[in-house]
Amino acid sequence: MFAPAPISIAPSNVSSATGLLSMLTESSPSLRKAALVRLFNVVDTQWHEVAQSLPDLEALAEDVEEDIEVRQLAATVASRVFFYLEEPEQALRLALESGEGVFDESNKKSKAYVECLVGAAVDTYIAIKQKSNDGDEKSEDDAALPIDKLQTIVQIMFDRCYSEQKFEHALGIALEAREEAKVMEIFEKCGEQGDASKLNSLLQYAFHAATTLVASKVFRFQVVQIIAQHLTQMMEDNNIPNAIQKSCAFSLANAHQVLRTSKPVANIISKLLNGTDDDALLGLQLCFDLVESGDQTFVNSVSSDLKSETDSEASSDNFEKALKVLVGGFSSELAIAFLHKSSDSDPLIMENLKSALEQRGSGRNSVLHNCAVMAHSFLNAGTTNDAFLRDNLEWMKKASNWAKFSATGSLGVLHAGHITEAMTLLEPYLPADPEGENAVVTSEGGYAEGGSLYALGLIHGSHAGSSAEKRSETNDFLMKHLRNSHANEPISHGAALGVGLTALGTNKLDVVNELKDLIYTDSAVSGEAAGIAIGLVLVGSGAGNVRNNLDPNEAEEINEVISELKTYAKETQHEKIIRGIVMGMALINYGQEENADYAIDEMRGDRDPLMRYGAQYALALAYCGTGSNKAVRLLLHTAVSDVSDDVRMAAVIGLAFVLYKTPKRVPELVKLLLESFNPHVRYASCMAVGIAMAGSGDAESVALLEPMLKDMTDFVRQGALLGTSLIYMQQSDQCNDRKIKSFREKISSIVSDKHQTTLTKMGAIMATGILDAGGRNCSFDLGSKNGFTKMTSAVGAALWLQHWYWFPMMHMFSLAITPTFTIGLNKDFKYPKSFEIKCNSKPSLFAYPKRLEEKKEEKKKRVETVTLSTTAKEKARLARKKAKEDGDEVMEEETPEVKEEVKDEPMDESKEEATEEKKQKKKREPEPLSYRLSNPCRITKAQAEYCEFDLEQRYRPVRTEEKPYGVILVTDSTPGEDEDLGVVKPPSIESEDEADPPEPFEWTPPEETTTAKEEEPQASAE
Amino acid sequence: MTEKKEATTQEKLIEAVNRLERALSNQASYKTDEKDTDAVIEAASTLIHSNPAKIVKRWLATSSGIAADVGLSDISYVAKTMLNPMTLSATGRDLLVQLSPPPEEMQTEGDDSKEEKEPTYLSASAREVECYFLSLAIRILWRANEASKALELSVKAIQITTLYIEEASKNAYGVGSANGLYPILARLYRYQSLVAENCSPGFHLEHGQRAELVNAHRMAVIRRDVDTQATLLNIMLRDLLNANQVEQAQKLLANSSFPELASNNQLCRHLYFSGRIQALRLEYTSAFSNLSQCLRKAPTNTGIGFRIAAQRLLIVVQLLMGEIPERTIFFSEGMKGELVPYMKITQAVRRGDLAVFHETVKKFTDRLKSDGTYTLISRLAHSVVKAGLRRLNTSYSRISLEDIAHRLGLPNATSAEFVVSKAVRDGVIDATIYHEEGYVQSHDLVDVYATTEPMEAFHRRIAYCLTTHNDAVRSMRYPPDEYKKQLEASRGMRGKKDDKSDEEKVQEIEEELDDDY
Repeated sequence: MFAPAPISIAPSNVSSATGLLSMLTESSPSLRKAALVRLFNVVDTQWHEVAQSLPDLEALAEDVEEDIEVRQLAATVASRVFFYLEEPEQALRLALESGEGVFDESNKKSKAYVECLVGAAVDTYIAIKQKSNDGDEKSEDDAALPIDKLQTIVQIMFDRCYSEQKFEHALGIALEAREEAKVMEIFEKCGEQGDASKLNSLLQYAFHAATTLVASKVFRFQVVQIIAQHLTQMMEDNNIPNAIQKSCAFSLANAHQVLRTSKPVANIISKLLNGTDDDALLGLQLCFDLVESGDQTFVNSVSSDLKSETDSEASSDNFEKALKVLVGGFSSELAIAFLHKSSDSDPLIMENLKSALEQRGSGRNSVLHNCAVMAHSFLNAGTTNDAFLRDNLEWMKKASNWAKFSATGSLGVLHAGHITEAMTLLEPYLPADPEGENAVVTSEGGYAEGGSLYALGLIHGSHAGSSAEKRSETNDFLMKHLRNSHANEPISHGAALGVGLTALGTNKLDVVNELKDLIYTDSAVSGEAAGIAIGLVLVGSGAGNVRNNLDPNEAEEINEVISELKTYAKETQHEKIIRGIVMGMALINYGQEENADYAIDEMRGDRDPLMRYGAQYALALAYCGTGSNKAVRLLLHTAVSDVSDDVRMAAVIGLAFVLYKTPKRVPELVKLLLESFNPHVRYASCMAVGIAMAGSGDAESVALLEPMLKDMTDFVRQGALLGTSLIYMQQSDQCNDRKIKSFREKISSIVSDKHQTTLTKMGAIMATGILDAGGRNCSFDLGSKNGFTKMTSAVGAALWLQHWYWFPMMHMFSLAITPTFTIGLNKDFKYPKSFEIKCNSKPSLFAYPKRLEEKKEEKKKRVETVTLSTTAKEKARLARKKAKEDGDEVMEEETPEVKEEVKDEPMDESKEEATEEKKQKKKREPEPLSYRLSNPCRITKAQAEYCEFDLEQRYRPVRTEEKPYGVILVTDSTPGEDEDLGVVKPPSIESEDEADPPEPFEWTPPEETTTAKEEEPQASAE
Repeated sequence: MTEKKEATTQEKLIEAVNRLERALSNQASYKTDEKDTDAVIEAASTLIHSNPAKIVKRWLATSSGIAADVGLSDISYVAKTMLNPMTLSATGRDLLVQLSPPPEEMQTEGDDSKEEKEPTYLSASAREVECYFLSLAIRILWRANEASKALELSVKAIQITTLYIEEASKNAYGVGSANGLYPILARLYRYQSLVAENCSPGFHLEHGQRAELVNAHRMAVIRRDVDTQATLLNIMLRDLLNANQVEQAQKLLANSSFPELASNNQLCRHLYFSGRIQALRLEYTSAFSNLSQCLRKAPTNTGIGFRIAAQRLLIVVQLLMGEIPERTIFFSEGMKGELVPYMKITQAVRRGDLAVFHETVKKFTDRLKSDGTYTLISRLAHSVVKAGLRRLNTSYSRISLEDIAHRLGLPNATSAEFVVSKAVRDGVIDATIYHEEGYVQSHDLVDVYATTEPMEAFHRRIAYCLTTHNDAVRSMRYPPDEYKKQLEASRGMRGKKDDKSDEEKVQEIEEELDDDY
């Protein structure tokens, strides 16, 4: 600064401003003016002196009797002093009074001053605008700054952004200040440039910003509408290059999906389908993406709009295909075919679990038994692989009463999406046709029957993309049972849940009424199911709110039902029914954001803790994925202030839902809550971390949960086990410095540890299931590829968490998980086998975990391995320390490898198979840094970051700029040549290797337990 | 300096530079297309958690030992080999190289080493190293009493550094920012002011130069550059004090805020300056508290000159407050010789002997003037008189004004009368003057326990104890999450995160302390 900027204005030698300041009080105006002019020249160096007379200056600036010029000068000087005093707001206030030319940037000397003031101006402007938008009362300090003057400054900023082509900056201010007019203006200005690709990227940017950053739903809709308008214009403009138009079409479809207007989406798709081959492929890709986002209601309306368009035009092959994707259940078929074929589930896990339970005599503990059955269904969720069940029928038979219900229901998890065979599979368990000739529904038994109805619901409802037609068929079937089984609790319970799952998001009035009737029987168990089912039917509709997405014809009646339910929840004696109803309310408000505020506030203020409990879930689901500060604040407040443990628990878990898009924030937020004295809060914090960081393998989160595994309270340990297993989902053995191995060992040791309580063991058993869920091919992820929240997953996760109160809710995990597969399809929906995807990582980074090896030794050895591993760690640490001292000069990249080597050694002593592995490893060459995945393959979300398309090969994806994840449509660059194609084929029972359908195992009443007891010693003798 | 030694300092310097390069490039390594997730995450976390300014600061502290030994030729040699002439750093490099045109033999030696290894230029830390070398060069020149040369170089160095910072602020967010240059810029400003003062004693800045400082200070505030902000504020205060513009200095002090995060050394200086300004403005109590805090915070192992200056001032302020400093402070290590005049004065004050006092002051006038305490000490005469009066008052129940004048060395009874009446009014003594008779009658001792005095004293002590207690409790409090580190340590994670042993840390702290003095 010494050289470039010598004082430009009148370098005076006055080194003190005291004299000038005393002149301010002179009586002669000209003297005062002269003093001010001089002061202005020296204020930059002598501001500390001038600061003493600030009150005088301000008085001068406000003195109406003073000459305007003098007032402005005084304001200018005072403003500068405030700037030096680091009070930009005050500086701005006075600068605004000092007339024109203050914000003239040409003066080099005052550049910092001007920049600072403009920054302050923009901040204040945004703050004022936001306040007025939120409808807050105008407070006094607002009045201090005239908005019109601020506006002119901000306008100058806008103009500058326009002239410098920095439209993104302008857009940021416009979005912050919530001014749609400005947003529109920015797009128009950018459009005037005539550069279509630039406008396109700006619109993309705006769309991204609007969906992720704008907190107010109303304003977000306005912005997205504007974006959609511009995109439509671009679509219609024929001068724009094809590539850009394609990308426009894609964003436009997304925009309309946000707005939930199906017509334009159908329009775009049909236009694309009628276009060239490549266009048609893009259209189909859009269909797949729509289904992937998991909003069935929207998909259905798009397909019906598409159908109405097809009627007018000649229905082509492509339309058929599109409909097959949208409502024909094709994407569900793809998923199930993949899960079945590529399942990497390890049969030994289940064998070990079973023998561990029997060994300790806890085979009789029906809770653990039930858990083990559920763990089995998690492990094989959606793979249709039920070999273990068939081999262990005797073991399965131990389930009785509700455990039987749960066990039968678990078939639905196993066969999730297996629509074609659903009826055949469940035939043996289904209740007799209630409308048949001699149908009598007794109040006794019916557990297997109820479970099978639930299973039907799970099979049809788990995948968002399953066939709509089959779904409604099943729904009718289930409705029949629902209507006639009021006398039997398990059957009506199963039927209600099944109906809810098959009619997910359909908003059908008759279904709702039927369920309401069930509630009015005032039976606790079925009432709860009916409450939840109503929520499922009306999910995300916002029924009961002023604004909702209901069909106007039925809206009134449905709202009526909702208010009846609310009253009923206050009257009934059954806590279960209340819980069912409030969870239903929570589901109804899914994604409603501000629309749900009133309903949520009402529930939050209720005296009944159950109502408040529901309010937390309603908050969580209504603001799911928005990261809304308001929701987070409310949840955190409840988490520390509510008197009921359950409510606090729900509030903490709710954080994970609201913040799942910025998962890192969750561990930060709940860090302190993890140390809460309240075990329920600790449990919930574990679950929240698990849900938010699911499948990330994040070392820090695992470290947070690690102390919780040794918590004093048993269910906190359960939560820690569940949370950690969620985090470790789909992680390879290398994850987190290979700590994942010790976690696996830990959960298997807990099951057989007799000092652990049932609740902890339960957590360990479920954790076993979650870790390798869906044959290690499923992830727990609430978001879709395109940034939408997957409704089925969110709903599934929320309901799964209800297993705390009611074990059969564990099955809802099936909704929450998504298969992670990538498949390239050609235009005939066949997959070319030669299509490959390049992955730029070491193969071991994302490999399946190694399978367990059969152990011949007794279990006692196992205990030893545990002790060994701790000493091994100790050894490893010493060795590492030594290695570090020796190899100070080793480059950083090499150190982790050294560590790994050292670590391997002691670990391996405990395991024979690991030693073998190590021998191999020594021989093996260093791992390659990239490899190719063949079509179809498992690509986890984290892996997708490392993957890219190889554009050199014969098949090319339609959207090259995307990450390879999910269904990808590919074009054939050399159509004439021979193709090696695979056909997608859902697994069918007949064509299995083991051709027999599963033996219908019979459920026998408790006298069987004696035989079970007899068997036990045998089992342990083995 | 033998050739061999020179080689080692060169090596040391190169090694230090490489260390900085590593630290800074680690910090920026997230840019590299490394596919190893862990490395990326680690880099990202260091990016968030560590600020280049901190890295550079720590590095400056650790390399201060080397900096003390290097010579101009080392710097220019290293600059030549490590800075890339093709980039922006060419200006600084040229300046450095010109500083010491290497002698013949050096030249050959340099050529040899050049042949051995390819010149690998710095990338991540080029700017920092360049500016750091400039600052080293300035210091060496200044030590070698080539003040004018040093001044010239410092102006150029500041220009270069500011240019870098401005460039960086235009286009960078986070990485690539020039935060690492802040501590060096602060250092350059400090050297500049030192050198400038060295050029001409009693020097103070012209108006224009002051404007530049103000401007630089402003920019530092806006950039949140704590180091430069603190340094410049101190320089401005010092300059105003040098120019005897106490009023202005006071206003500057009152209207500016000293950054909380500034380094301890700058804080000490700031406390000293504020203590001095307040003493001159008769605010002795606050001056006393600032100065004693300053002395407490000043490093104990080094910076003796600064501590002496602060101690002198503190003694004077204490005397002005009517207190007598502890005897031990005059005999503490390193201060004994320096504080002799002050001890004499203290003795005079204590005795209340005006004659001795005047004599002592007269004897040490030059010394006191150069210490800058003369003005304050001349105010002490009143205290001397007061002390004398108090003694007389307790010794005699009645004493004539003439005797008082005689005892206190006052010219005549009339002036004694004035002094006594003033003392009575100020509450120094409790007596009545009988004008006609020409004597002073002291009152009987009042029972202080009947007044609120004991209560107030008691309150003061309790307040002091409570503050001490609270401070102690606060300092014993565990830092948050500390136990987690222990947990990690027990799990063997320690080596990973913190690769410094305790010894190294201690050394680092010590070096940081003595670096600034």
